[in-house]
Amino acid sequence: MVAAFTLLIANTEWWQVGLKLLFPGEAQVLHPRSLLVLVSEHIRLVAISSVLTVIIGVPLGIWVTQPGGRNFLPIVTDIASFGQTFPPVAVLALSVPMLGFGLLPTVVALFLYGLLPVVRNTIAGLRSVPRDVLDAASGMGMNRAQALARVQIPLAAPVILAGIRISVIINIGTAMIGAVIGAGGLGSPIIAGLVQDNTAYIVEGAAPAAMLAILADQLLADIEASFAYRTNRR
Amino acid sequence: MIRLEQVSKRYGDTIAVNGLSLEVGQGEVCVLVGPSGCGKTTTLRLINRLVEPTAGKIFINGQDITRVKPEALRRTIGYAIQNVGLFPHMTVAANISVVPELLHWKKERITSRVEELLRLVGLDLSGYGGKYPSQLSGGEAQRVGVARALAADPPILLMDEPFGAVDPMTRDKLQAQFLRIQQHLKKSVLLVTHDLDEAIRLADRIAIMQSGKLLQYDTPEVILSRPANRFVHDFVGTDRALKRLSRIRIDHLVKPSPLVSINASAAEVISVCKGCRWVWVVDDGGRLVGWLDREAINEGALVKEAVIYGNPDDIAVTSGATLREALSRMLGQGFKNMPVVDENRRLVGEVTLSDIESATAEPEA
Repeated sequence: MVAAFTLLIANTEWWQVGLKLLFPGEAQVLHPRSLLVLVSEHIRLVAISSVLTVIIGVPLGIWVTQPGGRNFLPIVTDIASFGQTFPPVAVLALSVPMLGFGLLPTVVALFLYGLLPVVRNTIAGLRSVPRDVLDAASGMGMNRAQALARVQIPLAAPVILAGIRISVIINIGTAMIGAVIGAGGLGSPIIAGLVQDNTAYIVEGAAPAAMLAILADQLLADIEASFAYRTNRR
Repeated sequence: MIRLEQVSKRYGDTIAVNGLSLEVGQGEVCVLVGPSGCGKTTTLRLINRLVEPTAGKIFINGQDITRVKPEALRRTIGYAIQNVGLFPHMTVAANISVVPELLHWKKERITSRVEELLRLVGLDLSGYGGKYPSQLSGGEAQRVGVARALAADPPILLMDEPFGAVDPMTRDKLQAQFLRIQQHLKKSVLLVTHDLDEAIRLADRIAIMQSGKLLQYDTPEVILSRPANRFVHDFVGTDRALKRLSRIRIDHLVKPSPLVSINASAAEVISVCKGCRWVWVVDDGGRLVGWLDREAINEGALVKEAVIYGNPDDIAVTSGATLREALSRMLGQGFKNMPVVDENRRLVGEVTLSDIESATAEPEA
């Protein structure tokens, strides 16, 4: 599937022909910048911010379900919720003066926006581990770290991965805003299309983004399923 | 082996365990019973430090358990709980291997130990090791739980209602299996149950608890015949004498009984027993087939014609049965003498109602 997608993106002529068919009235149907470059910029934006969301969000979720961090559970949940209610565009506007234009402020905005599903699912997943299983783990002589690594996290994994999947998919759509401050990506043709009233540009940006989202969904769902097999929730 | 000295546990205003002193000897099965909320589960969890006492000390093999790290302590104590708590993402074999792996056993040692344990709990049919908990029945899961608790061969076993979550027939089998395993392994066991009959069946000594206090700690026979106070008396119930019957086996009461072969002549019947009216009839292999009224034979009939056929499963008890089973059968069949057969249905003797009465009459207080 990845191969099919790459092939599709690489063949600019197909897009030229297809879009010209759909929008015969437009003088130009393809954005000046190459589709392949746009897609790779977009993927880069999504990848960096998602990786950050996961490596900060999952440990954060783990921490607040352990005795040490339990007091911080409400605060962390609030921050994550806030991150999603605060419009990314506003985050951009606020961070540009401090961080400049381009990649960095966009990654910050995407990171904040994607945090909630990951943190919330990590917490929910860890809490859903049955109490008897945890009691047995402690009673048999596992310390906190061993119980976490050998029992809790493997059992919470499907839920956590579902949260990551949701976060990544939303991220692919939200990453459009990067174009507003020069971060590139598939938002560029969309914004240009809106400004110049060129629907072909908009489709050129939106269609690959949708395909990317579907692709990511499939790949992550497969990973999720492999964990579900092990927890035997057939 | 396990000694609790004046142990107390308080949660805010509630006192869960109140000044408990108890000792469990090596190879002994101590069963904690009492009504809900009496503190029996808390007591159990104090021993492997899942709960820490507010007062008092606990010693295992003479050593204060607070001197060892809790995790290290727990790896030397088997722990089996009511809902088993099998790890759903691990196979049966992996579940059993958990503590040995925590103790860094070698792989081959673990594999052979898992096989040994599956055999011990009767799950050694091929394939059980690779099954997942969701594929097991309640009884099978419970047995895996016991195997898991025994995996590292701990000297002590803590069990919290281990047979509670299954149907009565399965529970009976699991209890029988527990007794067999215990006879073989001789662990020091502390078992919590709310079921008095289970306690009577399994315990070497029973500890009756109420509101966190220990009321009586003695053998089942003594608790049933000499309850320490009103509460214990009421708790063990008004059918104490009947309950005691399930602790005693018939074997020492079995007497030789008059019997004839089904092919015997009338003369043999008369000679076999002078004073008795009823005679048991067996086939060529010595197996019980029924009984005979001597008065019917006196009239000159053949054994074959006069015999009243009966199924040994209904009219006899197997050797090794308890007095309770024998009495129940007697009442059901209306016999005062009950034939006893071995596992091949061969007649070995009989038990009488009057013998049972003498065996269970309460000793002078």
